[in-house]
Amino acid sequence: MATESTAVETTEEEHADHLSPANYWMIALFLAIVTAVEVAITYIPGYDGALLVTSLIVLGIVKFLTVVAFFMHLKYEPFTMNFMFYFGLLGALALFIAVLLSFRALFDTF
Amino acid sequence: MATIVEAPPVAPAAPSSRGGLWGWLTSVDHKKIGIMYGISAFVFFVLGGIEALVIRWQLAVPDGTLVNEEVYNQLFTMHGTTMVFLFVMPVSAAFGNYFMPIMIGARDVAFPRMNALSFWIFISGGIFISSSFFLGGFPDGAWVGYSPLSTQSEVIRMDFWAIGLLILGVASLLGAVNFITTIFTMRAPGMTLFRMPVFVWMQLVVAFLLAFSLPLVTVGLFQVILDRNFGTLFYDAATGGDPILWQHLFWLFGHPEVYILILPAMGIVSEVLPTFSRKPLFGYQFVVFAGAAIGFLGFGVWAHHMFTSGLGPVAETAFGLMTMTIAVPTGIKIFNWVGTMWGGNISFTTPMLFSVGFVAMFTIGGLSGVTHSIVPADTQQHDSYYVVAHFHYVLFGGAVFGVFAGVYYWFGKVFGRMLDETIGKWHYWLMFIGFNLTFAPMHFLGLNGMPRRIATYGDGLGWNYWNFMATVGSFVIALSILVFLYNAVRSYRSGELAGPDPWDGRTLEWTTSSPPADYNFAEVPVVEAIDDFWYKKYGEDEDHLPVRLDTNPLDPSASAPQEEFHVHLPSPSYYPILLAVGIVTLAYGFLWLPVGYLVMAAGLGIMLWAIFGWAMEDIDHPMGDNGHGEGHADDGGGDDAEAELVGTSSEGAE
Amino acid sequence: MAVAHTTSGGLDIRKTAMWSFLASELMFFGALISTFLLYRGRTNGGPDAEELFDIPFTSVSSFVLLMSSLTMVLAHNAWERNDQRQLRLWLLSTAGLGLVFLGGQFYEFSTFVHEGLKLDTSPFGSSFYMLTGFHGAHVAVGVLMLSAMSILSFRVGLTKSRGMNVELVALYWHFVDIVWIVIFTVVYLLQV
Repeated sequence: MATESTAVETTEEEHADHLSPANYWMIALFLAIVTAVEVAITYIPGYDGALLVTSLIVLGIVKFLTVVAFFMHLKYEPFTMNFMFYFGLLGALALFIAVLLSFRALFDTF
Repeated sequence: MATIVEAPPVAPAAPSSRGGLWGWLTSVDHKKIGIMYGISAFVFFVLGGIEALVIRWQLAVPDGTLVNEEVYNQLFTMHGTTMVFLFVMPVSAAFGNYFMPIMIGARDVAFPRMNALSFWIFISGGIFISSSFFLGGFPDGAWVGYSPLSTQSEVIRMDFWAIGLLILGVASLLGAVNFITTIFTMRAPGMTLFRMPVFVWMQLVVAFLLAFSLPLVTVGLFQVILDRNFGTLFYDAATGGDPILWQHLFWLFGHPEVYILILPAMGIVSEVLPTFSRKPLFGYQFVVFAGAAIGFLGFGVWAHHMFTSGLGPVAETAFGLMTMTIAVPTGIKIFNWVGTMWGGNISFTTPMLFSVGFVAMFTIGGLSGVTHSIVPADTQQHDSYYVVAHFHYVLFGGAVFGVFAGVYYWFGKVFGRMLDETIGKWHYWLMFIGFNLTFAPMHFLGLNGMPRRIATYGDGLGWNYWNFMATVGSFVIALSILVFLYNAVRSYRSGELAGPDPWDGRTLEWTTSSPPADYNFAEVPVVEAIDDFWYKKYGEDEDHLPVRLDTNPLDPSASAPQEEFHVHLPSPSYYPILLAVGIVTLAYGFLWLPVGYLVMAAGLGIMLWAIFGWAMEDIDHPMGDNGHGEGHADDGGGDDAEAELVGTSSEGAE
Repeated sequence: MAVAHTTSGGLDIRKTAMWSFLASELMFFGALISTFLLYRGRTNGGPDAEELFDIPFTSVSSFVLLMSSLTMVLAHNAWERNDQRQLRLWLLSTAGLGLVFLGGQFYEFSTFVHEGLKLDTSPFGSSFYMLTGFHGAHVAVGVLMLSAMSILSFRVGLTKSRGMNVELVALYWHFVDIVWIVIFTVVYLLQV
């Protein structure tokens, strides 16, 4: 819905009941499964190094974005709120990657 | 000074005459809060100025003996801390509070009680830091608080500093959230983002900078406090901690902070120059985007403060390039300001003088800033008086000149009487000469090798002459401030009546009475253009010259007593000030553990009382009194914006 | 009628404020997590992550917090439908799950202290306790707000017209959850 700046015309009522409790239970089930996978792969012998790190980061991002988009309803909010949050998120990531790179502290032990 | 609009000036009701002291303490009116911000900021300005004068007196001649090293460290630490956090930031908040809502056609900010809370937390934090003078001495680790200076001294001075800045940070964060929300949600009909005055745009950018940068220094300050009081090892190099981390966290905040200080002044100047050139701002969209670009790029250049800390060649190159890049949007703004004046019908009033002074001085400061982006040169300039000269040209020649432009521009709107123009010009020229006499020599001193933050220097180093001249200049600045204070007091009492639109202005604040009614607008304005008020006053003839139209676009409250319009306003509340008192009590208690636990408990009790009272206030006293009622009883942290602001004159003036 | 409220694009005032605050909080936790990442290997002779962390235990408490997001969103949904009974049920469940999480964190901290990791053992310890401690403080504040909401719902009922505070608390609570999602991945799973 409101991914463009057409958010100007979006009113609150439109998104109120996009999801039902049944949907929320399904999303929670999905999150639980992802968590289980996360924990499980750390115990698989041989599944380590860059592969494990990448998998864990990707799974973490999936969980993070699922909660933000559906439980926090950000997917259904106007552009302004999406902009603020994701701008802050990307900004924080960029800044701290830069800081940690300057300490050479990001890629040495993963 | 063309007072074209015919409405007779209404004798100003001095704001202080409404409600008495209790009225001020419990006010949630953005205008009163703005005035309080402004006056307290000027008190801190004078305090910081006195510290600067002592510093200059000490350095006037070699081997100065006015103060010893210990006191000198306290003086320059508090001078920096006071001027940055207790003067320029709150004075920007003052202008933002007073004018941002009016300029977007709103009756108040989105969260009036939270706005009052911001102010009271700010003033408590300011008093908290300054009170260290009586409780063991001012902080002495410089305004940047580098570890180990901040973490390894035994006395509690730097606790005052770190906790005080945390408190001030809370105030600024609340203010930022409030301003972002206000600008996004409270604009008058037709006031699209790209019809907003540039001043409002700059306040929006500043609010975002605050929201994104304050948390970084907050983490650093917590780490300093934990290191000092709980034995953590964040900045303890002996056990693997890294003091450089503090420099990153501080400057990740500190560099955006520089733009937090300067952008509001740029906004003020962008309002003043078009008014007195009688031309629209040249390249409005470029000025707006340049402001946003400065804010954005401002997050990517922090490490140029750390070129001597051993970042490595890759990082130094990257940050050097980024630093050069940020000169581009700044240059765009300067060209647009010059373009605004070009071919304009310029009248050199005092606010215009300060604005032109701003553009010139800021350009000099900006150019010396670019020299810091060249790493080898910066390595020479680092921690020398050259740097001191640079940032005073941007912060004094820039921010302070911009602030005074705003004071002379809007004084009549705020207090109903104009500042005297003749005295104002004396003020300007004294300040201009004194400023350049003080800080221009510091370029030479720095390039001649004089380090900053030294309590004295030996004879025969070649620094005597310019140091003496700088001291003379600083006292000329002090004289100019005295002239200003005289002007302010005199004009407040008996200055010329301002009337609604003394400067033939372009933006919405000039459609209201001076001072504006409590509710700002009796009729919520409907906006159709950038500089809407101007285009409702003036048409164009065939040569595109402005022609006065036969209209009266003033708000009805400008020509009638404000009591005629019954606009519903938020009720005053004493919970904001109570909450601030609770916070500062908690902070004082923390400094003197274990006895302080009792004080902290008292502080927490006061805070809980305030929060609980705050949350329940609207339920017990529903604010609606005339039926526009759904959705205004609020039981949580937020104020009750929609209910407070729906009362319109169509309803009230029946 | 609501002139000032609807003219600027129908943005909800309180939600706009909350999202800008949460964006700011991202920076706060970003700085804390970065400090931890910088200091994770600096153990100063004390125990390191691999010796200390009990992944099965932390997985369970992570799961608890994750499910509290489900109960929170169900409370929010009930509030939107003005179903006071369900609202109370889910608010109290959320607060309860939050308390379980805090209990787990208390147990974890005391175990770690017992095994020799204190606040002043090493930069690793300092940054670990600071990060998880601030997160725990956020959870505690959330539990307090949820409890206050629950009491209010018994006394006066939380209707949709009465502010939008269930929604604000929900946003805050989910935010605390997503921060923990990052902490669980970056601080726990990636360090062992």
